[in-house]
Amino acid sequence: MASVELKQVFKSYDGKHNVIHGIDLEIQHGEFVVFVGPSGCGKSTLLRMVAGLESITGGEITIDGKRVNDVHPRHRDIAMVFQDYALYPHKTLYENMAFGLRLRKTPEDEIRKRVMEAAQLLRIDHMLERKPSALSGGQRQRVAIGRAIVRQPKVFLFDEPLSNLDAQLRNEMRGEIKKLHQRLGATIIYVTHDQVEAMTLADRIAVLSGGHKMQYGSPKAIYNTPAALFVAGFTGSPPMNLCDCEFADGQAIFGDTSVRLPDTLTRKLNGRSKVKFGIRPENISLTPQADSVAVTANVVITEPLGAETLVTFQVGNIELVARCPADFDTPPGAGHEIHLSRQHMHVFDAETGLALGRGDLTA
Amino acid sequence: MTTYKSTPSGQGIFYLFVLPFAVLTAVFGVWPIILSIGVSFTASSTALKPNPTFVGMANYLAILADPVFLASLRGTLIYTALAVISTIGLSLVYALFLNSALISRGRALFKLAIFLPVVTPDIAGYVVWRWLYDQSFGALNEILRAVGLPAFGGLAFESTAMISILVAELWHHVGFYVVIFLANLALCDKGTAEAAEIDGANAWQKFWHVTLPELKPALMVNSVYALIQYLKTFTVVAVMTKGGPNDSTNFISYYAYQLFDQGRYGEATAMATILFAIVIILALGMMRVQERGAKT
Amino acid sequence: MKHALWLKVAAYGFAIVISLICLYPYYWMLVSSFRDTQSILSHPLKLWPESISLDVLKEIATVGGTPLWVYVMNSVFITTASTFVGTLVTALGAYALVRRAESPFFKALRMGFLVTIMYPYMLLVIPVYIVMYKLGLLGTYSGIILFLALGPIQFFLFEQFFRSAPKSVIEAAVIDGASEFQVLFGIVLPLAMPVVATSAIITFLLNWSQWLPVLVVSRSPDTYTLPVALMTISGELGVNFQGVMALSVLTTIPVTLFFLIAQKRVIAGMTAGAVKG
Ligand SMILES: Nc1ncnc2c1ncn2[C@@H]1O[C@H](COP(=O)(O)OP(=O)(O)O)[C@@H](O)[C@H]1O
Ligand SMILES: [Mg+2]
Repeated sequence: MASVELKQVFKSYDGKHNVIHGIDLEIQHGEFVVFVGPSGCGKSTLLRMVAGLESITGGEITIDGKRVNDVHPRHRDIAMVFQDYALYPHKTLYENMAFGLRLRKTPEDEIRKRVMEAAQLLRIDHMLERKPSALSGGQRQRVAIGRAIVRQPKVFLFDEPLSNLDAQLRNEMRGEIKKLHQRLGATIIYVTHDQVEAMTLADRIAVLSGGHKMQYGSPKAIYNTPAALFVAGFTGSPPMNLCDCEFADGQAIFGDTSVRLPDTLTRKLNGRSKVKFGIRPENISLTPQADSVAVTANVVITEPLGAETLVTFQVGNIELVARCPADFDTPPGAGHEIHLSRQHMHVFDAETGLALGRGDLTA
Repeated sequence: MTTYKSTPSGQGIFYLFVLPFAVLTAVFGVWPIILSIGVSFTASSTALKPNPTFVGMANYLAILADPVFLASLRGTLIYTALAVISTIGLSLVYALFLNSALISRGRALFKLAIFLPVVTPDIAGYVVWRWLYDQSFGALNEILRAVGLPAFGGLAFESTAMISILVAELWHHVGFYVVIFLANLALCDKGTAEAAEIDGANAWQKFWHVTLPELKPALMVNSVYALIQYLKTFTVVAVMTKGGPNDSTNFISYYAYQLFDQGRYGEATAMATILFAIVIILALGMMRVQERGAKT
Repeated sequence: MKHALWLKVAAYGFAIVISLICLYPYYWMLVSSFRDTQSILSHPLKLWPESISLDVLKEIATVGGTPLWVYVMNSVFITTASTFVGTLVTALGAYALVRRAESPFFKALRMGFLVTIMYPYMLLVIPVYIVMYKLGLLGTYSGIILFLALGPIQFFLFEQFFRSAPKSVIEAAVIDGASEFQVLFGIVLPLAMPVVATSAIITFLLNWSQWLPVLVVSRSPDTYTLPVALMTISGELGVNFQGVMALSVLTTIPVTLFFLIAQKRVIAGMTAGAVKG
């Protein structure tokens, strides 16, 4: 268990272009932090800098307050789980897990004890004499996790560990990783491009885009008060409805329809006339709610998901997706009144993409 | 790959790993090449002495005025062109043939038969070929006589010597290229060929529009290989003709080697340098063309 | 696709004819080595020797004044030693060059190697003679062995393998606490064993056939190998024809057998660098 801190971290591979642009993050003892963002945004680079697999171009990384920029990976006391498992193909599962301990001259009975414990925890104790090639993807990933666990490192690093698994196995393993964290109470940094994975696993999420930190906070905070358009559009499935709108007289104008924004929001606009308007699909309902505004809309398409139905409505010149009850049966083309929760309206600066505010927040 | 700045142990060990390789490359590669180029600017008689006389381009001017060298250069280029075209042509055709549906079984055996000469020690192969070609006792003419054809001049005549050593070299080398083409054909996308067939393409159209474009990279790689290899043709000449008859197979590397033997180091190394330059320029040129092809 | 029967027969006939043409020189060499010079010269086409005897071995018991077994031992020793040295040096070198591909020194070294293999080999041999002379390696086994050690095919085989080897496995070992030494000998080399084997076999086949470097570095027949001996006596025109053929067989048979045993590996390995394009 340890804390990790990144201070103004920069990375450039070619000495000319930065791929990480000065990121600050602190990760506390026992915290589960997820780096999330689209492919190529620099998540792996950042993680690999923590691991010591990439040099740090600028800034500083500390583990337990100790600067590790120039510390060799083997002395950082970290363990890492890779997307492609990276098992040693010629070693048995037992030897795969024991390798790191052997190198550290751990006594043989201690090795045996730790490997057996980890193997039981991961339910691979019956196949310890097998080679990795005789395992399924899910089993290989368990071994890779086991190899990390036996080391009892200060920090666990995971780089998209579930990406190579099929959807069902992914859900199952996700649950197991969460349980594991609760059991070990270890500090974990976990990289994924999948926002669902991030939301379900993390204590705190760092959303990255283009080598910049967009937001760092609890899953709730990320979801409810996205700090930027990018975060809003990246989280939730379906993600937040985001559209351009003109703003005048306290009204957001969508072609022939206009919606009155809460005064708290209006104030934050500071006289801007062009903004981005956002609302999550679950904050649009078919019946009036407390503090909601009614607009008339036309049904464009319906997508029944079983438990609920996603409905795309045309409102003025924009389209909004709403989560509706499963029994929604208005046919496409027909009109329907919908109600937008004013407290859950978001407004973003059209140029910078930064959040200007949410309906219910006065701060 | 993995990097960690300022971990000297991590860096230093790679220098240790690479050291023997670096030493061998330097001592038996880079150094002799530089030495050879250096010698080409010195007078032959002093080339191996501690203080060789620098003569500038004199050796180059001398060989460019040497009719034997010019004929040798011409012969080398003609031979290389002939050899590259026939090697690539024959190996491509034979690979396509072996890969076709006509040969359903035994492909591995045919492949083995054509590849066996590749691993045969070249000297032994060429010694045998020399005797097969022999005017009075050779098997080739014995066969021709038996079927009532006129005798083949073989290595004895200027008109047939080059073609004779070409055939022997083809025997030694074609298998290598056949196997490369076969491997590339096996990598070709079967789906496209089937789609073309469904679209109603006949065998020729399929070859021209589907197979050939897919083989283009392999064609380029093979051509560069063959080009480098044939420009350096040496052993076959040393064993079979010694450059004759009448210098008709006296290719540059053999001619240069003879001059070395006579102690004419300056001219010999000048020739080596010219041949080296030709190899590099042609190989780089072909690679450039290939890269451009790959990009578009 | 269905083909007419006659077409298939014709195709197989063609393939068989081509294969026989490829194999005929072998066969002729083998048969001739059992026939005395007189009968070879008068009936070169005979498909079977008149009698089978190994008497010819007596005739080539000494070649150019040196006992045959010296050439055989030299061939075996020089080829084996250069294969061992070459495989080890190339494996280590290629590994370092791949792992530190971005280092300017390593880039330059790789470039130097690539240029070397473009240089006409037989013309390189002469300046190498001078280098050997300066290093005092002329006429020594070490000189021959070291000169034969490196080869382009072997280098490309290893380079290709190390480049395609999953980088994350090495990184996992580094994080597990392995030193670069332990990574190489504990993880990478065990994985590279198939390539080591392929490369060693190919080096053996190629170096067995080498003659010019051996000839040039040697000062006397004491360090000649079989191909060099063959080169020497084949020059003496038609003197002992059966002997030449027997020596050819002796030079050819070991590598042929070796090749036939490991043919899949050899064919795949020798062409690996050129496939894919
Ligand atoms: N070894 C490298 N050399 C040069 N550029 C790299 C290297 N690795 C990653 N990059 C670049 O850095 C950026 C971030 O990559 P990465 O951290 O792998 O993204 P992610 O893991 O978020 O998908 C990308 O633009 C990628 O092209
Ligand atoms: Mg990544």
